[in-house]
Amino acid sequence: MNPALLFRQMIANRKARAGMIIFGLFAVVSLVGPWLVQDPTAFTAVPHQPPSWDNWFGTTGQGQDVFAQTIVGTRVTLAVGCATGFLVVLLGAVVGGIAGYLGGRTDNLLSLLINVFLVMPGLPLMVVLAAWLPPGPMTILSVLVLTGWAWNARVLRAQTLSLAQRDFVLAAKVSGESTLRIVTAEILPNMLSLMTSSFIGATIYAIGAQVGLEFLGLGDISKVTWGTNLYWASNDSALLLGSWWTFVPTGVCIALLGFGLTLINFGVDEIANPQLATESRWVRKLKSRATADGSTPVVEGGVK
Amino acid sequence: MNRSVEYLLRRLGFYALAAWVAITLNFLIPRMMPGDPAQIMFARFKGEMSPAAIAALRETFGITDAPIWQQYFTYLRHLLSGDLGVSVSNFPEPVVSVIATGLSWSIFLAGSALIISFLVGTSLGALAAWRRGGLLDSITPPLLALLGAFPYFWMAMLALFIFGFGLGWFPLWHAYPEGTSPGLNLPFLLGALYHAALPAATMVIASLGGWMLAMRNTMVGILGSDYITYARARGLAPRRVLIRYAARNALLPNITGFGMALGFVLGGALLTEIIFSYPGQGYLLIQAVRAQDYPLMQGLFLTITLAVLGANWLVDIVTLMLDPRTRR
Amino acid sequence: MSLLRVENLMVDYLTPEGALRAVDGVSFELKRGEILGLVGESGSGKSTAAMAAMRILGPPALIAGGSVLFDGRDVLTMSAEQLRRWHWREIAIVMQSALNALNPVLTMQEHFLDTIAAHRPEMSKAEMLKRAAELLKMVDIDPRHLNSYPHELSGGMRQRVVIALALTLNPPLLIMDEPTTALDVVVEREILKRVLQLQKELGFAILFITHDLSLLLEFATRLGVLYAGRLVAIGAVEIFRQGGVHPYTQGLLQAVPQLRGKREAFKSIAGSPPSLKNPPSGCRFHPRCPLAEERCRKEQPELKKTQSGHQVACHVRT
Repeated sequence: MNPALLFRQMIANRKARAGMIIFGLFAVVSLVGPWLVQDPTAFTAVPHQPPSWDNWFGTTGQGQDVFAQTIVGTRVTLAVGCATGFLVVLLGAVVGGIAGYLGGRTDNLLSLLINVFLVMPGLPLMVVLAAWLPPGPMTILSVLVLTGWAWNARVLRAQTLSLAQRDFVLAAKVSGESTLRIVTAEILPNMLSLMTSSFIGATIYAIGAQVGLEFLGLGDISKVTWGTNLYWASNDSALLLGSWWTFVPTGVCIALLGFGLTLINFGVDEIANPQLATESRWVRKLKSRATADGSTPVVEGGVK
Repeated sequence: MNRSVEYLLRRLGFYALAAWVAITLNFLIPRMMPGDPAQIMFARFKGEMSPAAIAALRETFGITDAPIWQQYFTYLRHLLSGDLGVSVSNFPEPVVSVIATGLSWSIFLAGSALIISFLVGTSLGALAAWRRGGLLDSITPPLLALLGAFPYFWMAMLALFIFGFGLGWFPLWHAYPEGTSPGLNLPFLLGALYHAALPAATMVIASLGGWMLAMRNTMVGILGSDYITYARARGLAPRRVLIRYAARNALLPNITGFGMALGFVLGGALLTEIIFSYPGQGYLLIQAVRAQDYPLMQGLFLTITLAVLGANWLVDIVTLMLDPRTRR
Repeated sequence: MSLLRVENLMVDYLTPEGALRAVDGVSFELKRGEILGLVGESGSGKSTAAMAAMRILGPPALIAGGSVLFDGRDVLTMSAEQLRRWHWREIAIVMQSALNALNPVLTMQEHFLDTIAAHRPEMSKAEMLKRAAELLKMVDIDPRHLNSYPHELSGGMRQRVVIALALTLNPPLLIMDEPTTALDVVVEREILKRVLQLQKELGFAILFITHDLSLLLEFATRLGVLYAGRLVAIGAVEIFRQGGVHPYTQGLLQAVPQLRGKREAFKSIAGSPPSLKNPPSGCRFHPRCPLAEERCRKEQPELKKTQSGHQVACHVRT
């Protein structure tokens, strides 16, 4: 299993492909979008205006264009989300991998560390930390990574543990391969799909948590991100004044992006576990005959 | 059953260790921040606080001129006697009583939402896996996955907007109607339910998909097992196989998830509480952060952490009861 | 009349690459009280055929053709409820791994109670427990183990329990799917001895599936040999004891080391079983067969009678 092969399989899989298209759209928007829209912080029109031809998503409580804010906000949100996902998986792979591979005292110590972090309540800890530290995307990034790495570490440790016992690893050890080579050449390639789905899961979590923290005002409220957009919407009494357009588009974007990423994960699951795909195929072809009582169906002549 | 007791005690030991780490962190963080918290508060209140009050605050904080080890042990001593200090923003109410109210509301709201969501979601998941390819299995998972992708506080905003401000069907804030007095009287109890309805509903909808998918996936894995085939081969009724053989085993890993979620419940559904101005733990925490009420913040964080650890230990006990294999 | 009559059974597995035919036109019959052995290598389709005949084979398998008659009744058209009533009362199975067959969170007692209650709900719990204890004694297990969980028993004990479970309703047909493969030879011997004793007492027929041909020679009435999803030989055990007719059977028998006589090198069959995705043309055994001719490569042989009821699918031997 190598990255190129996995990527090809993902494109071939229906669910993963759909998810990647959605993610791709958002990625393009985050890169090019800001150049194509007006300044989201400029006071451009009458505040609290519903969507119109001039302002596609209406205006905020401070007369800013909601559409521009949504587009521009994509960049930071997506960047912090993906960066968090990447770091979380990296940290998790290093700690979990070392623990799972080396075993013994190292494993006991590292597992203890992982478990302690796991049991720490995430959101309250995030709130408290974000309150103490200077506001901004870097703070959010560090806080998210600090509270989120443990889950991945545990998952990756479990997988490394089971792989390390497998025959091909023992054979490599016996034939004298160095530890570094065993880890990079034998173990990691087999964990590729797991790490991919971990990365995607972590990114989903990061985007949601990030938006939550910023909504609470713990981010840098002068920056334009999806979370701060929601913060300002709430601050400017959107609910009270009925300006639904100031918060609905952001929510829909978050949901679409999250859903797209989830789709990719469904696809990766099917790739990693071909039995899932086999069974869904069987279920689809024999839907009318697949009985709840589980008896073997009879199809004269078979099924193509 | 000696081995089980040993196992539980070992887990308790681990949780004690984690609790100690949390407590110590709680002690260290304010002291690592630039500035003296007591001085910050003094600057804030600028003469609104008598020197005696400030001195009392510093004392509660344990910020004295004593060496840090001594401060630490004073802090621990206070903790063990249940003294979490005095809340600055609710002066002179002690932190413990402020937290007590918040805790009960959080447990009520988030607890009931979690239980409903877990029960409904898990049952739907089991049914969907049992009737693979059926309507339930094809439509609900992607639908619920999409619903779950919306940030749950955003759903809360939307719900409040439509049903609260818009249609006026539900109250807009707080945990019970004004004019009723807390206690075991009907107007209060009914009012509390009414106020919890909308926030709980949004939480349930947002998390339903997660439970359903988790249960469905575990069930699908289990339905391929030999003991399911064997149960059917023995002529057992389908309902019996579904519940006693499939769901019973599929539930085990999901109970762990439930336990962890239970712990976080006690942290309050922070964001939902903010939106609905619902006075639970989460709401209190944010108010404390905004008011720079360090004693309250510290106290809340501590209770939340201890609650999470406690919930996890409870899950260990329940898992032990349900899965005989862990008893070996 | 035969108890079980399988004719031209075809079983497919739906894989991502398309349908794979695991059982390709297998026919055999079993009379009351008979012991029919089905032998073959892994992947030959023996377990698949038996479980399909019982209609308990799970996804992604499906029955693509043929007929299965039990006591004259058509199994393939039975409704879910008919199947449920048929299962265990008239046909039971002992699966290969008892540990996997038993529900890990239920005690042995609960397994018995579930089984009995599903078919005899009118019995009181006390009566059911009595029957369970009775069954355990039949397989030499102390009834106090009723309170044990599957992981608390040894492999041999678990296998005995599963055999006891199979006999709960006194079915006329027992399918035993490699029941002793996972056990050591001493335990295997004891368990088989007990099963054969019970068979004489209670008179049930056995469809015994195994890869160990030498085992079957000792107690089977008749034997069938499967290769790559097809039945290549079937007949009374005597012919097999004399060395068999089909080249594959002979290869299998020659591979069994002799305890007595002069020392010889191990004999085995060259090559390995074919992949079912792309089975060899003509006779599936021809690439490994020492007697293969031109005809074997082109035409698939059908089962034909040779002598005294023995049937062989081989161009050279018939």
